[in-house]
Amino acid sequence: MIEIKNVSKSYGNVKALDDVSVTINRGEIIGLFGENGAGKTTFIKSVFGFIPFKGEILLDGEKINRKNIGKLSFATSEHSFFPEINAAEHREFYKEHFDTFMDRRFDGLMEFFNLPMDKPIKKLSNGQQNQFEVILALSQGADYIFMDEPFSGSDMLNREDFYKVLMGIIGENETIFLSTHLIEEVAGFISRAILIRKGRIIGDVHIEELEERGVSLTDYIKENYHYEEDRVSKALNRITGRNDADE
Amino acid sequence: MMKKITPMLSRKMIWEEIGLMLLMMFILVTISNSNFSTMLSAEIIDATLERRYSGVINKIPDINVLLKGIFWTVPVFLTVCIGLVYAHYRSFYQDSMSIYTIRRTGRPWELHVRCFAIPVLLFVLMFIISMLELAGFVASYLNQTPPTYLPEYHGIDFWRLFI
Repeated sequence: MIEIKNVSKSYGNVKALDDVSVTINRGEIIGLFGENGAGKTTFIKSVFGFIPFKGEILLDGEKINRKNIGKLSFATSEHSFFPEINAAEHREFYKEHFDTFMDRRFDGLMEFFNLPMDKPIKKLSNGQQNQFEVILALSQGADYIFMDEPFSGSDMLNREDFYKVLMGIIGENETIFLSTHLIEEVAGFISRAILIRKGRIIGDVHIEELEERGVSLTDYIKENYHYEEDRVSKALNRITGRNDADE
Repeated sequence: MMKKITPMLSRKMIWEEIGLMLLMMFILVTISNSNFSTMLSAEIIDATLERRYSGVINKIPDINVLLKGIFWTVPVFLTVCIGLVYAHYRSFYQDSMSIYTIRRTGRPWELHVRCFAIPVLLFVLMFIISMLELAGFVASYLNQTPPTYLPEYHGIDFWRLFI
């Protein structure tokens, strides 16, 4: 279990995270949703300790440190692979540093996505780099797999392939925490949705609950974001100078 | 062993880096060697000519005068090594944020070892070579200079070798 307790983070006068408290349980598949600048990336980076923050984050009851950080893996749209070395060399590095590295899963995913083992990663296309980033995160053997918009810039087919593979290989004790804008694409397989806005958690719901209420994830998000249905028409009217009354 | 202490670059890049640094080391060592040889030869020739034409026996300058700043090449090499350390750190932020991966390993010094190891080893090598050169310079000074031109030996002013 990961316990995030009263975590706050400011960049100057801007509060990127404002007293956030969340618990992530083993085996959950969680989607983290929020507008640009809502605090999704800051949230994930705080968990890993990549940025300083106020508050407390515990992994299975202990602070996250060098000894237990191997239980977490990370895939990000910024990419965290080593661009100058190839996939085979990445595997060597990961096997050396992460005892839980899953060779078979790594080989299987590389083959599935048809990625070369001997080419420096920087020479792959953006889509292939995204795939490789995710392959590393999934193959590390971590208990908690964090993905921060891992397929940003990838085409729909690539993303669809990824979702299918993800659901096929994830064990029941593996936890996925996926930050994304692609609500409808992930709604079908996540078990829980957390909404963040201006650094605050504004929604945290299990998908089962929404299904019982007969509410779609998109509608739930719109409701919690106080989405104005007429904002588009208002903007168009301002831009074009037309008025609905004129029509 | 190399794989554990080098930045996460291709083997080719690492060997190119080491090769360039060794080449620089060779050039800098040759420069200091050449400078000292030239200075010592010039002083001995001057003393010889002075004696021949005026009959005056002048001592050549104390070895510390000839050695003053002879190893300016070492601080230059140190500066390049510091630049290399910086470049190694930067490499974890270029083309991707591989700094996230390095910081997730279980070894607290992983990043720093990989960034410092090659520059430190090369600088130590440069320093050792310079000290061997120094021994050679002292030997040349004492052996090549005719005894009548040699001033009293007072030892080496170590810190003035570099500036």
